[in-house]
Amino acid sequence: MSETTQLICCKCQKPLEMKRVDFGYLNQFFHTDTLRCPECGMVYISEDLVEGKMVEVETSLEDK
Amino acid sequence: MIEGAAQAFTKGCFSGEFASCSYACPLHLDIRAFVEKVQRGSWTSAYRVLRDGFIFPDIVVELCEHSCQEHCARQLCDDPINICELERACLRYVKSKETISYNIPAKPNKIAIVGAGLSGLACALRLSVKKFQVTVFDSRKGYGGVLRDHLKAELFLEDINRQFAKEKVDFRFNTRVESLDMPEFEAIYVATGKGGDSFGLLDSWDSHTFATAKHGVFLGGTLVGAGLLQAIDHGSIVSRQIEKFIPTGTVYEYIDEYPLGKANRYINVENKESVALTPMSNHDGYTAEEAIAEAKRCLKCDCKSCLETCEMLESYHKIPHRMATDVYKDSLVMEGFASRIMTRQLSSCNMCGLCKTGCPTAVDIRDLALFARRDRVEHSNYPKAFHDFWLRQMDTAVNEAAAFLPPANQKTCSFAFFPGCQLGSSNPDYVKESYAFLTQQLNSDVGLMLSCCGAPAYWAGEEEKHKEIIENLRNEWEKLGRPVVIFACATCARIWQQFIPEANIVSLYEMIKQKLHDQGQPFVDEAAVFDPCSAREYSQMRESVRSLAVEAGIKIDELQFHDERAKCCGWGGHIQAANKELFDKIVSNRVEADDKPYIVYCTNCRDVFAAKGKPCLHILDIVFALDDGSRKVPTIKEKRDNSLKLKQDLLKEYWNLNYQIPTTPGDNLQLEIPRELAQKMEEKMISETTVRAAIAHAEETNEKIYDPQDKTYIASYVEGEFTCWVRFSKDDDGKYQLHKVYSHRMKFLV
Repeated sequence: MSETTQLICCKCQKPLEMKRVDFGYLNQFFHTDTLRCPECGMVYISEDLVEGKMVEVETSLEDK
Repeated sequence: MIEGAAQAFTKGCFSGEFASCSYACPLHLDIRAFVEKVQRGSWTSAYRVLRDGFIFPDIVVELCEHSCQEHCARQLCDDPINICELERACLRYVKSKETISYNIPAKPNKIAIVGAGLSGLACALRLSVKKFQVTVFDSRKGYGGVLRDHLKAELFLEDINRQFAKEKVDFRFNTRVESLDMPEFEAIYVATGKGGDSFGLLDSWDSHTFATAKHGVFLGGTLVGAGLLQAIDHGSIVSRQIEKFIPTGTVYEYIDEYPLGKANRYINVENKESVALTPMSNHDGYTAEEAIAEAKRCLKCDCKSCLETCEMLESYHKIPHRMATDVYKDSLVMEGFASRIMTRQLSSCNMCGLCKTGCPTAVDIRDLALFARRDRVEHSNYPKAFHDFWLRQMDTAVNEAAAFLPPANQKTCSFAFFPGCQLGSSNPDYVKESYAFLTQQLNSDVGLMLSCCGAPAYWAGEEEKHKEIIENLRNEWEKLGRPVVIFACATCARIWQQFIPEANIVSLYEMIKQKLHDQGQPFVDEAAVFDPCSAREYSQMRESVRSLAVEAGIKIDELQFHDERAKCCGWGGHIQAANKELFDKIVSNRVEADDKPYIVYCTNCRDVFAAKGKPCLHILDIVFALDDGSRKVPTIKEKRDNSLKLKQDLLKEYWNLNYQIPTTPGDNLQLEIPRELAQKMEEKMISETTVRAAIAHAEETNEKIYDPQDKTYIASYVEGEFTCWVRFSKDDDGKYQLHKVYSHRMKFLV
């Protein structure tokens, strides 16, 4: 899968690295490690993450 | 939220309460529980229910006039259940009437009962079962009152002896109580019968507490004017009053849990099968089999009407009272400390009001859901993502796509056509043909109101936003000279009637019916009419559509649910983002309700069904010979484009005005979207407009990620409450291809 290859930030021409990303939804905040540009901080979130864990968390927060 | 505000919406609901017959019973027997045991032939269990309710079952069954039968819901479809004979059968077939004595430690409290009639004995038995030390006085020999002279006195005596067999009660017959100054007793119940001695306390008797001016002395029974069975009830009530009085020395108001008014609430018996009264083969009473058969006729009334008619209520299986309580509890939740429990459910209501239609007391869960949504919006704790998609669509409809115009060369008009936001989005020809027809029929005295009624804001609980839209509509309508408004959409008509009631309205279909005869292209020989839920209140609209279809030569069938019982197609209330699973289930249920093609007159119904592949004709397809029912659903982008193009075309044709359609980012990109991705976008409610904007933004700012493995670019784009991700490539000719698209609701914080 392309997630395992080196993705490059077009703006900074730097490979993305696993770094902490903060998320917020419905006044709840949390963080996880995901790929982002070490320079400008651009984030990459994969489809697998979105349609798996993220949907799960969104649903559970909406139900709270 | 004010306590009780949510509960007020479900006040009339009687689900979970006793059946009407139990409220009519002077002793409030749980008839439903009794009959249920008879149905199983469990005579012992049934007898226990009788004894719990009647105290002296043989006596009560003999004396009772069975007013319960006059309040049996069965009478609304056939004959009331013969409860009297079921009780007699129970007394006949129970193997043992032996009482049960519970191993409770004896209580030291002494209680005196004055009068050994039914009321006094009932009180004595209830208290002695709880191991109070009870002494019963009577001035004459043996049990008193009716028990002495009745023809079946022996049977009665037997029942009394049986019930007291295992209890220790000090009966002091031939003992006249001269004075109630008996300090050894903590409480006294005076039940000396009709005209009996009240020791001068009758005037001070309080019917709410059964207490008197003398501390610790209670009166009841026929002495205070009760009937025989009511006297037994009094005995039972006073036993409970004494129980509460003893530890505190305080007299509490007695709360009547069985007001007679509740005996007149009946479940909906519309769909109940009629079953005749079970005949009696023997004059002495039912055989055991006959009694069981008769018991099986019982509807075991516990209203679940709304849960049976609505998929949402059925799936959450919560009775209205509970829902209202939960809505209130949710309002008390402090962020981060506890969870709310109603969010998903209140967001899954189609707002169609079918619950109210089928409810015997017209409880409207739609109102409760709307109230809850509004409250949550007001307190900023409602997930905006649930309605964001439709609110953005609505913004386009009330801004870019809106137009309010009197006919050319006129300042006002007698009529104005309000097609609603979805009709022209689905197919601009629906609006063009209708407006052309109206212009011709009304001698050009018809203006145009292209906008949205604000239903998306209304359903989203966005009161302020909706108010703004309504105010604007009212202003524009007044500027047009307060014309009669012609509606194509029943939801628009309903919203207008509710919020701009001063406007006179008429349905487009009625207008067409009056003028067009034997016209239209039938396309199909036979079809079923699918009424939109919002047309339940508009019989003329429903009739007009049927007439038009018949005049076009179509044989029409009715669905199992139609007219006043019309069910929502699934689109109402905008539940799709909150509960897609339920939305899909509802749509499937509607589509599968009949094999024949549907004739609809709500564009949302049409598009929702067409998306599932159901052959579906809008009545305007037939009247103006537009489509045979196979037209595909336009995409989200096409709908937006349609509404803007419609405005452009109409303004040019009728007013010679040039309307410039506003551009959106990426409009001009040459973009190829594979079919499966296009389908996914529609399912996930991601518009091509958003995808184009995402690519355009990435190209313009270079804020994109390159994947060298497949030479694609990845970019994200925030629109409203959603972050949309696109993975795309660009060929040497500058053409783009979309490879992936997905979106999420949470936001990452940069």
